[in-house]
Amino acid sequence: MTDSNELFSEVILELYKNPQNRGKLNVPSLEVSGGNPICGDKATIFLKLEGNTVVDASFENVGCAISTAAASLLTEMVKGKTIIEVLEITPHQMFDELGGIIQTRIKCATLALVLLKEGLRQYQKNPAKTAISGIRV
Amino acid sequence: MVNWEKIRKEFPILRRQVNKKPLVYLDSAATSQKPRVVIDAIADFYCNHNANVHRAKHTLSEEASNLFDEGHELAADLVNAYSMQEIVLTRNATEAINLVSFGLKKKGFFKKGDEILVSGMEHHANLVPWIVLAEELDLKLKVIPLSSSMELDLDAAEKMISKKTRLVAVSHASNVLGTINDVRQLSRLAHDYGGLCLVDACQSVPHFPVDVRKIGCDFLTWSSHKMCGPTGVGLLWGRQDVLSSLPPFLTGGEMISEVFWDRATYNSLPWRFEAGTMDIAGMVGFGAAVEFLQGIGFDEISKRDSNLGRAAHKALSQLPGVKVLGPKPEKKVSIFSFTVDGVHPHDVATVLDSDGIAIRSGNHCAQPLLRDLGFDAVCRASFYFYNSFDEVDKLVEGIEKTQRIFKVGKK
Repeated sequence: MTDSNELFSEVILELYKNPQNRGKLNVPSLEVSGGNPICGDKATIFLKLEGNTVVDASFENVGCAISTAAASLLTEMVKGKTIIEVLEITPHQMFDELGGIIQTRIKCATLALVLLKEGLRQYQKNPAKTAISGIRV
Repeated sequence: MVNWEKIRKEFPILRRQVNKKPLVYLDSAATSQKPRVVIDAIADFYCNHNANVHRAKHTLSEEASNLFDEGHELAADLVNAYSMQEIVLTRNATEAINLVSFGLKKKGFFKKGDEILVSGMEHHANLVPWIVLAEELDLKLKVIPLSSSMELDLDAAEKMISKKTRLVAVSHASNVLGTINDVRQLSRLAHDYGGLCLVDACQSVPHFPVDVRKIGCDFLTWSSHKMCGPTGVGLLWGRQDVLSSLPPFLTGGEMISEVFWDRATYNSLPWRFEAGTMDIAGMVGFGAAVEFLQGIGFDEISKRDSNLGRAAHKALSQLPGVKVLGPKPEKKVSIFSFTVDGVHPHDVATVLDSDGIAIRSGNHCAQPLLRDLGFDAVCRASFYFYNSFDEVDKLVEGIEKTQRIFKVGKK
């Protein structure tokens, strides 16, 4: 039996089962963590920077299929991008890459992106601070 | 024989569709739906009797006051209180617990090193006020552990309790596990050592007959909105001698007897604890809810709850890849927390919602309990008498659909 499934795209289901870039980075340049206290999803994003360019990225998380898939996708997307390019990634880009998101779950799809952008903004202001935590999404 | 199908029809919202499917509402532990009589009672109050209470000498005020007082009488009758003076209206059960915690603190009931005993399945509402108080007054908060069957370990409780235990604060029924706790025994234990007992009855009063005299506790709190009444109405029952010994919580209008420029004396019970204009229409709606439920009969409601609970327990327990948390059905109310292997609870809820089935996912305001059980989040389906056995089947079908989408659950 098959079910019409407009809720979770194949991309989301696949990345939820086999997420990319999951785990800590060795000696990350930047570590950003936080979550959505209302739904309970939490994530930490690790970046390795060379100058202003992201050379590696990974994540750890507790969360649903969408937030996991989004973190996986985002950590893949940012590799090779400059900080400014990462800050230009829009939620809609995430939704498109994830194969569409239903209205009630937008926050799940943007959790990792919001964390990462907020972390990078703080890092730009104060590059000495390489571990940023407690961001509420 | 109660005609449950007919009773269900008295709830207008249960006729609506969600995502083009008939609504299957399985989140009554968060808030129940409201029957037409309750909605009408509130509208009737505003259309025909609206006035402020206990002040003016005009007819409307007299009518409003009588309806408002009647709400207190009905609450007293509901839990078999000795009188309506023991019933305090609050905004919600959380506020009621804060009222007690504030009163006990101000009265100097606790001294440094005293202990408060809570259960290992408390809702944040009956935990955070005590955490805050313990911090403030240097008290020790102790937690009664759960047994492997997810009931309270009363032997452990007996060992933990001592003359230092000034308060035992426990839920009557768990909002996560459904477990019905032996609050009678816990009240007795508290009293044996000279302490007080507060019972959070939010998940018990809606489901089965609750009698404060039989329980023997000192405070019992519950909320209107979980028992077919409106939101904005919490109820606190306090044993008269204990309640009358507490200083007022909020101060201002209504709660006073005489006011001078430099001092005030306070009103009698229960008005002393009801400062300012209360939710009068809400109290009228609550009264209508009590009469509606008493019209069905709490014994019947309790039987219905057990029957739905047994059916749901059986159906959920048989699903591969599904784990149900909580004790055997006969030891609980019809609240089912469960997990589906390989699928996050929020995703289960999303798939079910797409078929019009409303369940809750998350930590259910019981983070310490969930952490102890090793979860960040779980699904929860909670039933009430207006649910049907068909809806148990729909829940099962929804879970199976989720498992197909996520390609999990096959043996």
